[in-house]
Amino acid sequence: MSQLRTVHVLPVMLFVLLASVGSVAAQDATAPGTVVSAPEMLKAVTLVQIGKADAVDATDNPCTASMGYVDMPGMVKTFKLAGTVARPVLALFQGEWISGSDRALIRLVIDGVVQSGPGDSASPFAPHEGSGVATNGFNFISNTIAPGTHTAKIQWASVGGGSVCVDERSLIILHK
Amino acid sequence: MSRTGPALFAVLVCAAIAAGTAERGRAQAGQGDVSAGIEVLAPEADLLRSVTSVGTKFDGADMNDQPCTTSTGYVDMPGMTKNFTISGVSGGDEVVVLFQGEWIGGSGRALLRLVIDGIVIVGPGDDAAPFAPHEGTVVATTGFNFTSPRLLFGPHTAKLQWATTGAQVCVDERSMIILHK
Repeated sequence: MSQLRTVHVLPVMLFVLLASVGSVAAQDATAPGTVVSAPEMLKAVTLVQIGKADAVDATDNPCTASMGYVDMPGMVKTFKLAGTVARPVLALFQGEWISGSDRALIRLVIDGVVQSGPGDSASPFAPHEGSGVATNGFNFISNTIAPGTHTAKIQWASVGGGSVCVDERSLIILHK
Repeated sequence: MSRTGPALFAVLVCAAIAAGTAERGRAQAGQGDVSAGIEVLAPEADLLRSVTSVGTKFDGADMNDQPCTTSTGYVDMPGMTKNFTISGVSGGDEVVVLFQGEWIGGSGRALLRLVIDGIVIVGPGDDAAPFAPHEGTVVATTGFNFTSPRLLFGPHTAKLQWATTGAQVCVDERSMIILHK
């Protein structure tokens, strides 16, 4: 089996720094035309070993009106990264958005650290907005993390402070 | 996932022969270009492709710029091109390509397809089965999980192409992930 050969995480240091100081969705940063980081590839990973999946799903109907990121109920999963080499993992999230009318934000947090790339403070994004019912999510590529036990969670927020709600949902971690 | 190299080679050879008589004859992936390392398949009417035990590695990329297109012909989605290498000595394997993107700003209906080694992959997104991951002005993340036909072991290039049926479409945060052996 091949080992992790190359990992090109271009602006990781910058994004981790930004993520650490920007945990509040204080404005509609997902709006078209909003200035974001330079239009370059955020993260490119190659030949990352996987082979295991840890996953959780939920069917309750939580809502949030918090403009600061909070844990999405049930969307937390502990997993153990095998091997001796640090590497990224994949976190696949999909949820059925219901009833709410605001614009939702989501991000991936592992071991309390907001993962760089889509969802961090430099690249907030909205999986859903409005009252239409739809299933939306994102496939996150994590930062490089060390072998051992980790905890991944999805956090969410509301751009405008109105309610956003989710129903059926799953979080799947693919890792070595 | 078969590990029997000779048998797999025989399957690929048979597939190559079948390429010459493929009914649909479209110049699309899985329909005829064995030289590109893509196995010829004859998709059933409903089940286009079934793959098993694909992937023990992933290659991936994500982006956060905000490209738009008004092209009604498919063009490359910026940043969503990725080289990958399928491990193995002889034969091949399928891959799975996961795409999600935040659609913003545009008002048109977007179209999306997977291209590997310059060939449109048969199935969802090809000329026979175009699909729209998004339309209208509502902001949302959507995408698709593509499966490929069998690809020969070795290096390949996958890319997402997009188009609009009319008005402008735009995408922001997005990721492309390739699961493969």
